[in-house]
Amino acid sequence: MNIKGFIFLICTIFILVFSINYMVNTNHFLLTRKTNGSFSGGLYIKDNFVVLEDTKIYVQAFYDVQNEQIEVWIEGQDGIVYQLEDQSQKELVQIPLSKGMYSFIIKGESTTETRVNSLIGYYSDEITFIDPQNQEEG
Amino acid sequence: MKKDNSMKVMRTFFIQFMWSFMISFLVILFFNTVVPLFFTGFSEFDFKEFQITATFYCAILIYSMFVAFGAKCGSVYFDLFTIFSVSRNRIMRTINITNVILTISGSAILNLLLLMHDIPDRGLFLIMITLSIYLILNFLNFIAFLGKLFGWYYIVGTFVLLAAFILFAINYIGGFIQMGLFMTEIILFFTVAAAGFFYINNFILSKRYEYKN
Repeated sequence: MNIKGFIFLICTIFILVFSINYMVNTNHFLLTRKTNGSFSGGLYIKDNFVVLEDTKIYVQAFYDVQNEQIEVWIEGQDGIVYQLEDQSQKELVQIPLSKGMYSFIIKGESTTETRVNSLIGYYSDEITFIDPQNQEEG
Repeated sequence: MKKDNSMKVMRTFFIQFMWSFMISFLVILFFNTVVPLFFTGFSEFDFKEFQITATFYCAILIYSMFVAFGAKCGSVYFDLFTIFSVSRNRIMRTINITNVILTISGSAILNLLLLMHDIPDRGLFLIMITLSIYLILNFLNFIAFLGKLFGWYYIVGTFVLLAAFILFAINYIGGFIQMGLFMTEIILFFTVAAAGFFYINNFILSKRYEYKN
């Protein structure tokens, strides 16, 4: 029997168990939150989230119709920290955020069917989104 | 100068090996695209859907074929060449050239198939597919050498370590797939890892390799 090989195998299993344990305990996962939909008439979406420690989020937002009446922004206690400049810009923007409460807002009016997409990337241990249902229950 | 036939032999090996994969691919594609039409009617044939299915299965075919071939290169074919007294350097040169040819042809086929689809950042797909195929081939050569030299414990152990590594890199992988983040880091990692395995295979493991009956 290959003793060295067997010891190596046992060690690697320990490393794997340690890795799983470490990853679960730190809970530092990059998660995404998406809004993909279309509307005609009025739209107002407000997604509140709490930043537990200084961090950064990744935001991508765009809509398909040349409509000047759609606004996408993130506001905190100190005012607006992000505002969508160009609707066709599909680049991901990295925004540094300090500890506090923030809201991601999409507001728009359109007479035609307009598609709106947003994607937010955040770390699970640094940002918590407030689910309205849980808020009511709490 | 002695004529080098090792590339010719390797090409024959690959073509024989490829047939079983090609037949499996065609059978799977046939059962997933044509057979359902016997039940739903041939008027239901959707060419767009066929393109997507064909590309998807072709990608699986190429990657799985190269994984198996990479592993065989470092073990079975290396042994065969050794039996016929081909020098180690020449065997490694043959394997390295084969890896490069397979990478270029595999990447070319997949990227040409992707031309049928409307996807953004084609350049990124080209770079990532090429680098990933080359890394997979070198990594599987490494695994095969490891198994031959030290035994199966090290193969299983290496895959367990790979699982642990993937866990630690999960945010990078997820960020790249979902949002296209960490592009530089991932391309750099693929390049460095492929170069690392190339070095270990060529200058450490192959030098220690002895044919055992």
